[in-house]
Amino acid sequence: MDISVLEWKKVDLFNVIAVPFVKIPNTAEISCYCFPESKSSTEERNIKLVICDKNGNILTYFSNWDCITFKSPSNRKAIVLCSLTSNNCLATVTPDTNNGIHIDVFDLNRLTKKQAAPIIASAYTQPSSTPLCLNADVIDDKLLALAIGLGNGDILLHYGKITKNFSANIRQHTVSGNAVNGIHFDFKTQPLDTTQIMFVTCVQGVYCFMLKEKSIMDTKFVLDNDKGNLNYRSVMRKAGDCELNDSMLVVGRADAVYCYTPEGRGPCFAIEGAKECLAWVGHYLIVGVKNSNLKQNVTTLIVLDTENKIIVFQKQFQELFYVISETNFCYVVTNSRDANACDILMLEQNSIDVNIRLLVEKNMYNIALRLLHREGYNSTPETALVRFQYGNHLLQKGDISRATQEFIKTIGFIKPYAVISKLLYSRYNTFLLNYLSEWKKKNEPSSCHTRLIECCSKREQIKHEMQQDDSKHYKSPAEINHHLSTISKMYFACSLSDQLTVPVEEEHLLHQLLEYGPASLAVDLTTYLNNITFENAKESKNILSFCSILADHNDYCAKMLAKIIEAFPVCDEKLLFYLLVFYFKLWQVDKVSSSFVSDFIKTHCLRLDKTIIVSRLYTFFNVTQRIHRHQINTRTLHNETIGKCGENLMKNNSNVALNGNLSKRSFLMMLKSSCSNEEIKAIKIKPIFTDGLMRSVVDSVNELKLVENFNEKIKTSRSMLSLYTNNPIEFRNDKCDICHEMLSTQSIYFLCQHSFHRECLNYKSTKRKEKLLCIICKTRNLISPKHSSNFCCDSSDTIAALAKIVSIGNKLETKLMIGGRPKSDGVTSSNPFD
Amino acid sequence: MSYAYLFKYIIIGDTGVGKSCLLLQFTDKRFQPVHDLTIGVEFGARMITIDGKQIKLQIWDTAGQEAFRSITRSYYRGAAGALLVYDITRRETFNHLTTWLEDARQHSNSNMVIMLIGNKSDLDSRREVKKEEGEAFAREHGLVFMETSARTAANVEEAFINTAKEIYEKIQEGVFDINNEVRKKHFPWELLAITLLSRY
Repeated sequence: MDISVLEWKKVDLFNVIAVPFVKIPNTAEISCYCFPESKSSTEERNIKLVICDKNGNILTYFSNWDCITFKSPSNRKAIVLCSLTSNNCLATVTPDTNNGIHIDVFDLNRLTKKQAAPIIASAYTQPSSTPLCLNADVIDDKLLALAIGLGNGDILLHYGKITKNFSANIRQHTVSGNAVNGIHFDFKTQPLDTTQIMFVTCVQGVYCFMLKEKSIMDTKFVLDNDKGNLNYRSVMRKAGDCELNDSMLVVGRADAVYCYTPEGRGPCFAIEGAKECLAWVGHYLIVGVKNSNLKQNVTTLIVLDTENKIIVFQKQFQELFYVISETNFCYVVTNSRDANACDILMLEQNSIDVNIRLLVEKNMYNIALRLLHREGYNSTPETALVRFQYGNHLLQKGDISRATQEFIKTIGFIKPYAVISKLLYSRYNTFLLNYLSEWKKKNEPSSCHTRLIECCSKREQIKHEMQQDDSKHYKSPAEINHHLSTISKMYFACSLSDQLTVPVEEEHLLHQLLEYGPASLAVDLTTYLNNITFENAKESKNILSFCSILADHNDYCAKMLAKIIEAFPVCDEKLLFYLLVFYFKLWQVDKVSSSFVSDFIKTHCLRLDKTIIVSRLYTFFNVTQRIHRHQINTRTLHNETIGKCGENLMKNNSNVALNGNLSKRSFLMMLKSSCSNEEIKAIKIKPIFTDGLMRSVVDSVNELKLVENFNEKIKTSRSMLSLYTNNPIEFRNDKCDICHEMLSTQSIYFLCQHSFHRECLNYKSTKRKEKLLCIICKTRNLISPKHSSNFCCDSSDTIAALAKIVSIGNKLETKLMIGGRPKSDGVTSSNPFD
Repeated sequence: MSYAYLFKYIIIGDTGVGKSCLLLQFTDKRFQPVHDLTIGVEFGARMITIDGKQIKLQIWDTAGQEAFRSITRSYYRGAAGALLVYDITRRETFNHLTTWLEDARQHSNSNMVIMLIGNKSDLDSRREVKKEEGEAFAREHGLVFMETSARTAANVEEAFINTAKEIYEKIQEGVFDINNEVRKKHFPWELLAITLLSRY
């Protein structure tokens, strides 16, 4: 594949469906074809495609793929060029034996199965070279513009009123020395005296002309005369298509696809290779690129979303013939392996939910949102969900402000809890406040919300107070220290003096202290320690948090804790154990003697079981041995005994035992301790993993059940399928079930053996994507829900069915209450909630 | 809408310097923090007024990658102005300016007005190229220099409008060939509108 194609992002948002019922002659029999460049939805009878075969037959395909064939009237050679005008006239070019060409204009509006299309105008002329391309169009049904591009770079032009024989009105103009391979008109009907524009592409060079009556080509603009690359194909992108202000000529060249306006070059899309076909479907540019390396006739069809800059479809086709674009999809015509016909495939977008899922999987949230916007899903739960996911993605990437913007847009669809829980960190405070205030504007806040907003504002206030000491402004260590001492003063002051302060304030300050602690310690220990002193703390509360920061300063911590314990003899037992741990650590580095530690344990009457575990953790056998000496006369202590002891402890004490609600912090602490001590590892971690294991076992059992269920479903579907394939249904109906007239014109047969006239079923009014159901069965299902129960397979359907029953019951009741009015037509509305 | 002149610009520079963002800021007045790579050439237009005259700016925003150099080169020829952009936070984008300038001079009209732009001026903390260096480069090669920020929109308008003013002055001096790089609109209905407007 060419490099430029590889540069584009890719997601497959389109898929190909075969259209087997359409028969088109094989390429070998086709001499030329044409299809309307712009689709008019108002016209009753849209022409989809016109094919001229080598025997002089003209095959006209209508929008429903009905085909009417008629023969070109004269006994000339085959038609070589044809073009359709916007009012369904067909212009053809037929060469004769004297190097002249016959130009005929057929009125296809008057074409019926019995009567061929009449020729409304014709001409005969002798061109200077072989005709290569033809384009014809009309303005207001009066002016006919018809241009034929020739091999020597000349153009035969007719631009003027339609007359029966317009031979005299044709003029020959020279465009360039290169063969003309594309002519396009850009006609504006308003204002009436507007000069009309004609684009001409030659093999080399792109030009723009103003047209004047009497076939005059005025003012030539050279839009491009780059000699480096050949122009292969060109197509017009009409104004008004997808909010496009000006029409653009789109030219497929070897290096890229270029766009031009009468003012010059526009954008270009880098897709390399010889272009086989070009078409536009809404925002999508469809490019067929011929594979140059292969001997086989393989074309890669690329669909490019020009607005979002992604390739949304890419597939190789054998012998691609041409692409017919419709408003929302396009037909791809390829040469079939079957010698007598062409294959027609329909290239259309996947359903929007599939496309959104694909885009979200590839983290292309922006494009997904734009796609939803394009489809008109601006404020729907689906869009909100995508926005929420996008917000999460941005949050992960650290772009909190944009994430919050996305979250704010989900208000009203996504529960506020989902967002708030993500923004609870103190560093996201401003964003949380933003979100909450936006939420408050649209909803009635409850007391919880008001409190949360208050807390956030308080946090914000503290932040402002600290702004003067904002750490970001400080680069030197001294400044950081200063900042810290201010915070610590604030913290201890507030935790001491004012009991009524909002807890958030204190917490926030503590977080700040903890956050900047390690950095400050690395720089200058003394300042930090001076602030976190016994005198400052004066209370046992929260002092342990500082101990975790000062983990490397056991000496200091031990002293401080000892002082605190001395000052508050009735303090928490936790502190004592913490101090014990510090003593153990000091003992390990020979800073305190074992007897000192043992004495500490004795004097403070610590709980034996806990003490054993902690001492075991720090291999302080001295104490364990002594304790055990009192109980059992053994000098050595076995690992097993301690292990059992630990296990029993965990069983008996719920506060020691592990549970699933373990906080992250304690889990990490546990992991840390277990990594440093081998024996403790298994005991502590085992329950967590057994729990996890059990959960996954349960999950897998559930999944197995699900698989079984799905297998059952597949089985039933298969049996249904085989039922349909092996027992063909014979349609015996010869009358329409609605009007009871004979079924002679177009009719629709349903598998339920009901059949209708197409018109009776109002087929046209139903959208293409909607499921077309048999109207009789649909009504019956609504009235007697027993029938519908056959189709109900899962719970959601059951609920839907129940809802229908209830609503119908209500409806009938109301009808009865109103007073037995005669039933209108027996057809119930398809919407039970109407 | 009618206009007196049509100026075509080309924005060039290494990949990721913020060319597309500059264009978006100028034409749509918005900033898109995540921008996909430009593959080929993108396009934007805006009307401005200079000396009481309506001027339409057509801007080609090119791909910065080497792979698309041949495509972007073909756009130089029709341009009356060029914005040569580098990123002040990436020294290498400044180092490549000489190559870009050579390329531009070789493939464009010699009268093309080139403006040197140091983009991302909002990221001053990550600055790798001093403003003085940019100024020196511009002085040395006869360019106009400006530091912009597509994010904050600082100097973006000025960059485009100053370039237009330079081109306009050159037209007044008769340096530019009106029919080529700068096209005076000659669609009859537009001319009619202009004459009517000037009459009243």
